Amino acid sequence: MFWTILRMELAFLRRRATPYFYFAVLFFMAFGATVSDEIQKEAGIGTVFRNAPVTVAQTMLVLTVIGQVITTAIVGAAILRDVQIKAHELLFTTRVTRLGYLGGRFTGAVLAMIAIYAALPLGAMAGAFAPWVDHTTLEPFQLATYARPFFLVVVPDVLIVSALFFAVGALTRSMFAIYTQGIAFVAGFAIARRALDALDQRTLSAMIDPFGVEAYQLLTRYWTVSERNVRQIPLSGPLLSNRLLWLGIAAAVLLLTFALVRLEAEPRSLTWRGWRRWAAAASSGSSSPRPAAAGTPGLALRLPAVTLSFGRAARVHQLADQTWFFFVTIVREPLFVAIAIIGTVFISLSEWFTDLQHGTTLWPVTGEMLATIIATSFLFIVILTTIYAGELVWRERQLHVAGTTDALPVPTAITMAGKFVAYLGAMGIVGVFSVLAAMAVQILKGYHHFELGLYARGVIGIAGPTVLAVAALAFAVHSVANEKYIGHLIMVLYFVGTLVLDSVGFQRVIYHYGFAPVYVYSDMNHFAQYSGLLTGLAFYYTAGAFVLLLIAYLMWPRGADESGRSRRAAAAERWRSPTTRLMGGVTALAVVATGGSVWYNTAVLNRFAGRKDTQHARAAYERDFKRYKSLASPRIVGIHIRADLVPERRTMALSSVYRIVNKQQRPLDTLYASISSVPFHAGVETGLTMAQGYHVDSLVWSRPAGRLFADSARGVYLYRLAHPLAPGDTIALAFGAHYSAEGYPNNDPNNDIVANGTFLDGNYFPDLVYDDGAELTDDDRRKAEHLPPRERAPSIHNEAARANSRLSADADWVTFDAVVSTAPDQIAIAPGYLEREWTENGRRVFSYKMDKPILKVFSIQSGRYVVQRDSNQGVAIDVYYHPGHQVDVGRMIEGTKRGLAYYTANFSPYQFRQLRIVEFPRYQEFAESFPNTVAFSEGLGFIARVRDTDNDLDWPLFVTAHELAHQWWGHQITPADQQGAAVLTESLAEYSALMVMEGKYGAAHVQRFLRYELDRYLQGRATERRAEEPLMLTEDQQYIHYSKGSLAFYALRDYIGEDSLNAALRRFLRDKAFQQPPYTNTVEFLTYLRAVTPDSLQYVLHDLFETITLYDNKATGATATRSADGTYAVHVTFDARKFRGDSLGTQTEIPIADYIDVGVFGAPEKGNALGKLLAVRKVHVTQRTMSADFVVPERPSKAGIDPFNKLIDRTPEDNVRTVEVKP
Amino acid sequence: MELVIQNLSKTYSNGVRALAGLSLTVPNGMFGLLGPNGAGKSTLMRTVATLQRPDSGTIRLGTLDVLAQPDEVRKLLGYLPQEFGLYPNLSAEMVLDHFASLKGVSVRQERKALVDALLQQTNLYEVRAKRVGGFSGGMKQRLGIAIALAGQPQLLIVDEPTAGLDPTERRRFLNLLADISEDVIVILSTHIVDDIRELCQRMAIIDRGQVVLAGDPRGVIDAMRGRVWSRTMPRADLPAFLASHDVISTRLVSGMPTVHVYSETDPGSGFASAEAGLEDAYFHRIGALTTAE
Repeated sequence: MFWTILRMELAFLRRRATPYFYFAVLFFMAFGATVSDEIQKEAGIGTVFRNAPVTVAQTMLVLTVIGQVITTAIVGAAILRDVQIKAHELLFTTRVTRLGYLGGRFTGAVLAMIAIYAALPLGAMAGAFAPWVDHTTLEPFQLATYARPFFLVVVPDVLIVSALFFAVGALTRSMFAIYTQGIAFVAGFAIARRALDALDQRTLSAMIDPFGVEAYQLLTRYWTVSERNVRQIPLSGPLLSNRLLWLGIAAAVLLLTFALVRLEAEPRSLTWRGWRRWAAAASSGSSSPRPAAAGTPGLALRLPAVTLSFGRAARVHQLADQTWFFFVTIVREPLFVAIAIIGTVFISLSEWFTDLQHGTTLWPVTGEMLATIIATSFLFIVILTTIYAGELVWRERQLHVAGTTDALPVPTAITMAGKFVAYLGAMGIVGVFSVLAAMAVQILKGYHHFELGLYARGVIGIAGPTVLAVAALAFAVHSVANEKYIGHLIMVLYFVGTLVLDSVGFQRVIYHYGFAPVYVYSDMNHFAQYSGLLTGLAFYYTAGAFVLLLIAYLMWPRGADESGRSRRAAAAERWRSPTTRLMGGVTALAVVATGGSVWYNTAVLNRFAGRKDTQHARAAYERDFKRYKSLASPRIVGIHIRADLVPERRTMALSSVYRIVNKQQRPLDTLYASISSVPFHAGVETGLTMAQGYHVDSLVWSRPAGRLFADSARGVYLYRLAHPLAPGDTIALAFGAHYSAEGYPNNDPNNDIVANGTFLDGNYFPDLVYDDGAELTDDDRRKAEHLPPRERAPSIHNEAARANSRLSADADWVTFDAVVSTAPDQIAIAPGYLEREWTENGRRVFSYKMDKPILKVFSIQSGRYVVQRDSNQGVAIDVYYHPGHQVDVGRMIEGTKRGLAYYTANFSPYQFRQLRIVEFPRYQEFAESFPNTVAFSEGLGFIARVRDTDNDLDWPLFVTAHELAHQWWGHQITPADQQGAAVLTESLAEYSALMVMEGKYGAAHVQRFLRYELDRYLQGRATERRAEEPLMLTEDQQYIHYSKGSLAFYALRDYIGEDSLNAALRRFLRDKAFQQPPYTNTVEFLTYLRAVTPDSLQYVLHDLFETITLYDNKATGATATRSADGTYAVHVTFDARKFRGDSLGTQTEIPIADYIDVGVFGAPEKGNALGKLLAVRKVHVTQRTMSADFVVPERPSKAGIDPFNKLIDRTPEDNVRTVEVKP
Repeated sequence: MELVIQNLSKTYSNGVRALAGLSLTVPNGMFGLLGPNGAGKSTLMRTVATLQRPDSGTIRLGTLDVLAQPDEVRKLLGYLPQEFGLYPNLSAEMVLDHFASLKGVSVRQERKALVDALLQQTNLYEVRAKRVGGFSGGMKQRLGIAIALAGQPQLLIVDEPTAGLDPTERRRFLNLLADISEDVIVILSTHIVDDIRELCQRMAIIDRGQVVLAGDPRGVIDAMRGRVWSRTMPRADLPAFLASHDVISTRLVSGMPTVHVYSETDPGSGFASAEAGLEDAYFHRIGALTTAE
C-alpha cells in the first residue's frame, strides 16, 4: 500500500514542470551566489576561499531557509491534492491504510524535496568550476565541503519543515492554514533571531531555530580565516543538539499526525476554521426549515416592481457597492486576518527590539517606529498583495460564480475598480493596525509623545504609494498572466528584483518602481531634504499605477472563453472605446511627466554616478594625482573661517584665510591645493553627487603665483610661485566657495547643510596636499582597476611617516577663529570661545576664537537648539540639543563631569575652559571630538533608553566620557600617521571611559560591557579580510583598537594596578602632549608602560600589545565541603592553554606560565550573573591542568578560572562552573 | 420579443465542434432545449448569455444584436449556469443583495423589498442569514434562480437546473419556473424529457450542434402517435432483434427486456401499439440506443 502511494506520488511529481523549475531556481541561486563577487564580499570574505567549507555551508544554509517557500508548494500540495480534486472520497474508500497513505505521500514529497535541494550543492559546485571565476579564489575540490552541510543541515531541514507543513496540511486540509503556517514560521524565525540576539541568549537562540542556522553560526562565529578555509562543519555542540531536538520534534509531530488523521470525508475540527465550518453546518442543519409541500403551480410569481438604472449615478452606486462587498469578503478571510496579524506582530516586535548597542535600547520615537513600519512592511505588502491580487482577479472563476457575474450588466472597469479600491481599503486597515501596534509599543515602553500627523504622513504618503504601485502591478500581472501560479511567479521575481536590482547595476530609483523609498527621518529636521524624492516617487508610483490598472482592465478576464485569442480580441475591443484611449493617453502622459520629473532631479539637476562610475573616477583620480603626494608642501599655522549658512534654502557661502609657513628646509615653488573631499565625499560610495552645486569661487595666494593646473571637477589645483617661498617664510591663501542644493539626487542628498542641524567639517575647506581619502580602499576594486594593493597605514618602522600626524599632513598646530552666520532662530557653533554675537542683515552671526593652537580639525554646526549649562571645576559644560531630546542630557553632563574629574586627576589638566556637546541629525550615527566641542548624533545618544533598574549599559555616559577623553587622547597626544596610531587615541579613550563607567556603576557593569567587546573582537578577527595585526600595529581595524584595546587596557590595569598605569599615562602626556613632529607612536608609548611594569609581568605587555595571544581556559571541576565553623573549603580544577595567532588566525600553542584569576562566587546578584564575589586570587598557572583551593565564608555557587573574562578566550562561557557542595 | 439565432457555429481550440450552423427562433414563453451530453446546449446558452463569441452566425434579441451589444443584452438577461458557485462565506441575503445591485437595482428600499420577495418566493427566507457555503444542492439552485430572476429579466436562461436535485426539490424548482411571467423568454435546457413536457410551450432537440427537431411538445408527441410499438422478449433474442429493426429504446420491465420500435405500420411478430411519449420522439430523433432502469 505504502509503495503504491509512494510510486504514485513520485510519478505524479515527475510529470509536473514545477519540481524541475524549483530545482533550476535553487541551482542558479547557489551558482550565482558562488560566482558573484558582490555576494561573496557581503559574506565578509576576502582571504577565505570561494569554495571554502564555511562559505559553501553559509550559502547553502541561507538558500535553504529562503527555499522553504517550495516546501509549501510540494508538501502542502501532496497532502491536499486529493481533497482539492475531490478524489479523496474515492481513495479513502479503498483498502488504503492510514500509514500507507500518509507515509507514502509524505515520503514521496520529502524525496522530491531532497532531490530538488540537491540543486544547492550541485549549483555551488558548478559555480566553483565556472571558467571565468578567478582561480586564486578557489581551493582544491573536496566532496565533504558540499556533502557535510547537505546531509547535516539541508536534508534535516527539509525533513523538519516538511513534517510540520505536512502535519498542518493533513490535519486541517486547508491550503490557507499551510500558507499561514509558512508565513508564521519564517516571521517567527526572524523575530526569534532578533529577540535573542543578546549575548547571553545565543545558546537558546541556537536551539529554537529550526533551520539550524543560528546553531551553525554559534559554532563557527569565531573561526579565523585559516580555520574557515580548512575546517569542515563538525556535527557537535549546538548544531548536534539542535539537529537532535528538531528531528525529535518532527518525528513527534509526524507520529501525532498519523495518530490523529482519519481518512474521512471531512477533517477533524482541530482548527478555528474547521470548528467554524462544523458549527455552521450543525446550526444550519438544526434550523433549516423542513421542505414545505411543493409550491402550487400556476400562481404567477409576485415580485415587487423595481427601477432599473444604468446611468452614471447607478455606476457610482455599483462601484461603491462592489467596493464594500469585496472589502467585506477580504477582511473576513482568515488568511488575510492571519497575514495581517503576523505582519503587525512582526512589525511591532521589530519596533520593540530596536537595539542601540550592547543591549541598550532607543526610545521609541515616532520617526523610528515609522521607519520600521515602512521598512518591515514592504515584504508583507508584497506577500499580501501578490496573494490577494491573485485571489481577487480569480475569485469568481475559482468559486464558479463567473458564469453568473460575467453576464451581469456591470462594466468590467467597475468590477475591477471595485476590487482594487476594496483591496486598498483592506490595506488601509492594516496600516491603521500597524500604527496602533506601534503606539502600543510606545506606551509599553513608557513613551507618550505620539505624533499622529507624522504617522499619517508616513503611512499614507510613503507606504501608500508603494501599496498602490505594488497592488496595481499585481493586478496587471495576474490579469495578463491568466494563470494564477504564473502571476505569483512573476510577483516573486519582482520581489527578488527589489533585492538584487541595485547590486546588478540598476541603481536609479526610476527603475525601482514600487520599492519602499529610502530616506532618513530626523526629529530635528523631519523629512526635509528627502521630501522632494518622497513626493516625486509618490507621484511617479501613482501615475504608473494608473497605467498598470489600464493594462489590467484591457486584459481583465470576462466570459467563458479563456483562450488567448479571444482575450486579445476582447482587449482590442475595449481599447476601441474612446474613453479608454483617452485614459490611456492621459495616464501615459502622467507617467512621462512624473517619471520625467524624477529623472530631471536625479539625473540632470544632480548627476548620478553609479558604483562602477565612482570606482572608475576614484581610480582615475589616484592615477592622475597620486604623483603629487610626494610634493613638499608648506604648513598651515592659522585658520580663519567665514561661513554664511542659509539653512532655510540649503545654500551657503564659505570662505577661509589660511596663514601658511614653509617649515621645510628648502624653498618651495610649487603649491598644491585640494578640495577633493567634496566631490569624493569620504565614505559615501556614490559620492560624486556631492560635487553638484558646490563651486569654488576663488583661490588666491598672497604672493604672486601662476596657476599651472586646475581640475575644478575633482578639486585639484596646482600653482607656481613667481618667487619661491623661503624656509620660514609665510604666505596666505584666501579661499571662497558657495554651495546650493538643487532638486534631489538619486541617492542620499547632501545631509551636511540642512534646514535644522547643519554639520560641516574641514572637508569643505582646502588642503595643501594630495587627498588620499578619495582613493579606492577595497582590494578587489583596486585589483579590478589595476591598482596595486593599498597600504592601510604606514609601517611603524617608517620613520618618515612620523613627520605627519594621523589627522593632517599639511598642518601641525594652528590658531583658529571662525565667523558663522545663520538663520535668525538658530545657534551656530564652531571650535573656540564665543567672542561676540550680533545680527547682520537679519542673520544671526557668531564669532568664535580659540585662545591656543589646536589641531587642524574643526566643525561648524547650526540648529534650533535648547542649551543646558553646567560647570565643573571652572570648566563650563554646555549641551546643545533639540527640544524634546532632553532625556539623556543629564547622563551626558554627568559623564563630562566625572570624566573631567578623573582625567584631570589622573592624566593632565584639561586644555580648554569649556566643553560643548552639540547634537546633529541622525543622518550619520557617531560622535566626534573637536577642540572643546563634541558633535553627537541624535540617533546615538540623545534618544537612548537607559533603564537603571534593568542595569542597561549607560551608553550616553560612556560615549560622552569617550569623546571627552579624546580631548586628551587625540587633542593633546597626537600620534604619527603610522600603524598603531589608534591605540593612542581610541584604545586610550576606551580605557578612560571604562574608568568613568566603573566609577559610577562598578566593576560588574564594566565586565558585562567587556563581554560584548570580547565578542566583537573575536567576530571581527573572524571576518578580517586582510591580516589581523597585534594591538600596537592596528591599521584602521576597529575590532582591534576599540574592542581588543579596551580589553587589553582593562587587563593591564588589573595586572599592574590603576595607579601604575595612570602614572605611565601621565608621564607619556607630560613628554608628548602638544608636541611638534616627529610625532609619537606605540613603540614610544610601550616604553612608558614597560617602565611601570614589574619584570614578572613584562610578558603581559608582550601578550597584549605585541602579539596575538589567546587562551582556552576552562573550569573542569569545583567542589566544596562545609566546615564545622560554617565556612566552605572549595577545590577548583581547571585547564589552561595559551596560544599565539598569526595574521590569518592559525594558532600555535605555547607554554604557559601566566598569572590568571581563579575565583569563587556566591549567590547571584542583580545585574551580576556571576554572583557575589567570595574569593579571587591570581594563580601562577604553569601547567595545562591545575587546581586551586579556597576557604570562603558563604555557601559558594560558582567557581572557575578567569571568571571575569579578562583574557581573550574563544569559549568564555566555560570558564566557570557550578560548585558541587558536599554535605 | 423574439430571440432569433442564425447559422451559429463554434469550434473549440481542441477541435470539438460544439455548434454547426445552428439556427433557432425562440418566442416569449418557456422554451425547452433537449439534447444529449455534448450536443452543444451549454455552448449555445453561454453564447446567448454574452459569455462567449461564436465563430460565425448572428443572434438577435428583439432589435438588439446580441454579439455586438452585449452590455445592452446583459441589462435584460437572467442567467443560471449549469454549474455555478457562490461566495461561500457570505449570507444568502448579502449575495442576493449584491447581485441585485449589480443588476441595476440602485434604490436601497426597492432592493431590500426585492431581495425579501425573492427569498420568500424561493423559500429561502428562513435561512437568509446563513452562510451560502452550508447550503444543500436544492437551496443553492433556488438561490441561483433568485439571482437570475432579480432585475426583471426579459430573457431568462437556465442551463440544466434540475440535474442532481431530489424529486421534491426538482418539483419545487419547476413550479418556480412555471410561475414566471409569460412575457419573458425562458430557455430551459435539460436532458430530462419530463421537465420539457410539463413546462414548455415550445421545444427543440439539439444534437451535434444542430437543431434536429423543433416544435411544441404536444405536436411532437402527436407526430409519433400510432408509430411506436412495443414488445417484451427473452434476453437471448435481443441481439438478433436489434440488428433487424428500427429500435427506439430498450428497457427492462420486471427484468424482461421491453423494446420500443418505430414503424409507420404494425411490425407484427407480437408487437402491440404503445402510447407515444416525448421520450420516444427524443430517442427516435437522436438515434440513440439506451438501456435504462
